[in-house]
Amino acid sequence: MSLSRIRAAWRHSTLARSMTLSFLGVLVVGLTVTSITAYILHRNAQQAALERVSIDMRVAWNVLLQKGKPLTADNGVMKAGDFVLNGNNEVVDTVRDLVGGTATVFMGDTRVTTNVPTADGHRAIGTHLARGPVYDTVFGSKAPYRGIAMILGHRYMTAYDPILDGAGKVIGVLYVGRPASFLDTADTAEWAVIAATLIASLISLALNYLLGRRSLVDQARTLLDSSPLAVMLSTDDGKTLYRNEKAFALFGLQRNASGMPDPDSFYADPAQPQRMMEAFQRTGRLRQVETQYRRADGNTFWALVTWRRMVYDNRPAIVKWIYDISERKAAEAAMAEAQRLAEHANETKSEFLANMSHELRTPLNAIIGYSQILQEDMEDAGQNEALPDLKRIETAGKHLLGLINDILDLSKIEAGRMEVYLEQVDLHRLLDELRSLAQPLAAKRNNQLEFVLPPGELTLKTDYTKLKQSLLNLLSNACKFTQAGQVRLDVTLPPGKAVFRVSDTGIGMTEAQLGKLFRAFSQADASTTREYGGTGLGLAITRKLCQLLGGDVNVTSTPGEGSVFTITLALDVPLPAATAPAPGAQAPLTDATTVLLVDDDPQIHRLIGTMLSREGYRVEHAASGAQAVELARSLRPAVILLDVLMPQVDGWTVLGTLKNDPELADIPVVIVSLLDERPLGLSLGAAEFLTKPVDRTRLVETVRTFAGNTGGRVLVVDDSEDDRGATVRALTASGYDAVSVASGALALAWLEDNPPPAILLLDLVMPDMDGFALLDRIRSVERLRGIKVLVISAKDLTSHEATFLLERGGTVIPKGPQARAALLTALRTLRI
Amino acid sequence: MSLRILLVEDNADNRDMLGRRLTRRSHQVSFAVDGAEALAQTVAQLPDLVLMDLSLPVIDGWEAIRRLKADPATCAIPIIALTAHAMAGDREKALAAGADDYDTKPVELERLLAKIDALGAKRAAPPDA
Repeated sequence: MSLSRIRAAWRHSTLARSMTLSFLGVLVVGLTVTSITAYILHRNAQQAALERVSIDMRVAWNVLLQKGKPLTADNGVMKAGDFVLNGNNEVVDTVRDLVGGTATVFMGDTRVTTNVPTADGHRAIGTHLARGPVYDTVFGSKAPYRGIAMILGHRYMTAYDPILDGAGKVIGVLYVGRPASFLDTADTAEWAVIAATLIASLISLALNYLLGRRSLVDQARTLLDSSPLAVMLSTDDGKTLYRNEKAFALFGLQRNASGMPDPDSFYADPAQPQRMMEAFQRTGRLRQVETQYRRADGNTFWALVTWRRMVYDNRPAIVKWIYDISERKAAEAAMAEAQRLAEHANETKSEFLANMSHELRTPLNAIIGYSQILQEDMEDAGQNEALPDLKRIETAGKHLLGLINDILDLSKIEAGRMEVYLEQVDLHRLLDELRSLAQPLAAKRNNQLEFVLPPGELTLKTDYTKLKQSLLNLLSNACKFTQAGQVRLDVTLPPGKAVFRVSDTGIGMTEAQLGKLFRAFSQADASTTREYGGTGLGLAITRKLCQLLGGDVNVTSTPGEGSVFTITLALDVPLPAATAPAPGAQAPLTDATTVLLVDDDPQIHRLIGTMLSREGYRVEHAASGAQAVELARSLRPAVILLDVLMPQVDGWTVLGTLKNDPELADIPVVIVSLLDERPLGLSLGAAEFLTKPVDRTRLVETVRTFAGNTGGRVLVVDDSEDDRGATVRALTASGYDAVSVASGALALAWLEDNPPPAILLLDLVMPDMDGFALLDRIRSVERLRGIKVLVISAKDLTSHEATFLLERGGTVIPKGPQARAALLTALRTLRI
Repeated sequence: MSLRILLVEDNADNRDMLGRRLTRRSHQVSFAVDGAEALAQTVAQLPDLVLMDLSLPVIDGWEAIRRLKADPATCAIPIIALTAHAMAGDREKALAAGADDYDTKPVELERLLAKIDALGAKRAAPPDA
């Protein structure tokens, strides 16, 4: 039966294993009991022999001294009184007869009478006491010796007493003893048992190791060798202890290569091993670190690396899991490159269009302008025959100009260069201007123009020019496609929204026409271009402008009955009622950014103070212009909010004083005034101009622009504990104040109990309330609406989901190895 | 009402066209071809009104307006900013720089004349208390 079959049998037989283990147990117990017993027996026998020999020695002394006193050694003769001991064995033999052991009298160290035998069976007379412990005790210390000693090659239990003369000099030695072979035999037997037991145990252990433990190690190795991940075990100083098959293959190493090369040589970046080790020692592990390695053949590859601490062979070791991501990296790089090329191409296109548009427009202006001048000149001169032709040149020129302007708009929107200027727009003023622009268009085709809007003062925070352009476009279309009918603009303000509805009684559109309506260069029908003119860009631009304003435009239509275009804009947050400051909100935060608020109205102090404290700013208050300059000097606030209309020293004076003081001139001043004197304020050096009543969002945005962020609190919402921890660590390391919660519901609870964070980092897929629902809730709560939201998503978003997030101001960062960098970049962008 | 108007425009065609049309409406028109000349001419002539193109060489229109409005000698002269196309924010930027009004090119003559008249009338009227 071969060893491998035994092994196999062993692995599969639980009975064999358990029997062996039981046997082992019995052996170990037996071994212990036997050892203890043998030890006790041995100790007892020794003790008894020792007591016995001491008694024997007293007998010997009696026998010796009965022969005579004193004991002397003169001229080579040892005597007891007159009894000569040399060669006379009476004394020693009497002792032997009495006690059963051997006896000797030494003169000096020479045996003069003895019954101890030599190897050949004679009395050992004339032999000497061996040098050693006995000799030293008796002659050196002049003391008795008791114990085991070797006499002429045999072990004896012995007693030696020194024989002293009257002057205390050692003249000889008296010895009694008995052979200690009884001890030898006891030892041999018992040690034999002990040794046998020990050997049996060792054999069992060895067998067990060979058959059992070895098989576990083999299984582990087989397991690791079949892993698609490379696994390496190393010591902290970089020595490789183990490497699985994949590790050899991945690094292009031969199994039989002599020794294991220094793993540090595998890193493409020589500084990488130290960096990784430092990070590892700081946190106790590395998790999915992207690292570039170099193969034995010099080629490099990318891998995800995870390190963990473990104990191997009773030593601390690092287990390193290495996952080859070269293919993914290559795909990513290809994608990024394709993306970059596409973006570059698109940018180039937009830039080209913008430039071309400008170049085209300049000569076109001349064509239009001179055709107009010629018409005027001819009218004055009464030469009317060329007038219609000149009019055609002017009309064609204007059409071309409109086209170019539209292209420019569209390319600017696509290039992301169309900026939005939000301001409080007076709807009456807007509609007045629109009416004056649209009236001539309506009159051209005999259309009735009607504007309907709710009574009272109506303001809306939006971009005046873009809203006007969008509405004018819809009105102009309505007029163009309606003959002798009606064109209406209805403005309604349902809660949270502003709705502009442009309806006409014109030709209308079919479903198919509606489908491609908002696409660039596409009118409802190619034939309409010929019949009605237009660039086909108007509605595409209108839609994009509306989206820029945070809304959209939609259409319904019935052929032959007319069309209804509806622009819906999300209304800005209404001004919150003044509330008492939240407890603790006024407590100065030592590291918060200071805002100095200058106003003579205590109501404003309460209102703006609350708004800014909630955002984490430290608000300091000045009730007069004089106090303002004083506080500006002592506090050096990050930004100053300044009222204009104040008694004694007014805001303009304060602004002038601040701007003329070299030490204070750099503090941004935001004017907050009832009067709209923006140009004056800006020309006097104000950084920004806000009108009262103060719009909270606008105020906070402005303060944030000039004062910077308040330490940047970030709330991380993620149900994965690992991801949450990693994100918080990364953010903390980058100087953010990061807190995390594990679910959408917990996030809402947190937001209720804490001041709104600057930024919310949101995972989409979570149990209970998912990221979409949470974002929706946040955007519906006025207090939380200002929070910037970054969505980290592992899932591919449908266009519907992407739109949902976009509409609610969520910036999406895909989960993955680049997420952290993308995240930090996004945070920095948001922080500005 | 005849006004002395300084037209600041770097494009010769535009300068010629608008100059002729304004002259035809009985205004006295003088010209400057860049922002620096605009500043010099305004100080020298103290015109009743300045029509200022915004994209100008040497000193651009926004800067020229800012300087004219910061100078006590010229700050009362009304300025209408003109730009080739209603770029987003141009109107706001022009007004922020201190322009009194704003119009786009190509010029709708009647609309521009209305603006010129309005500002000219305001200037001619006695200052508010």
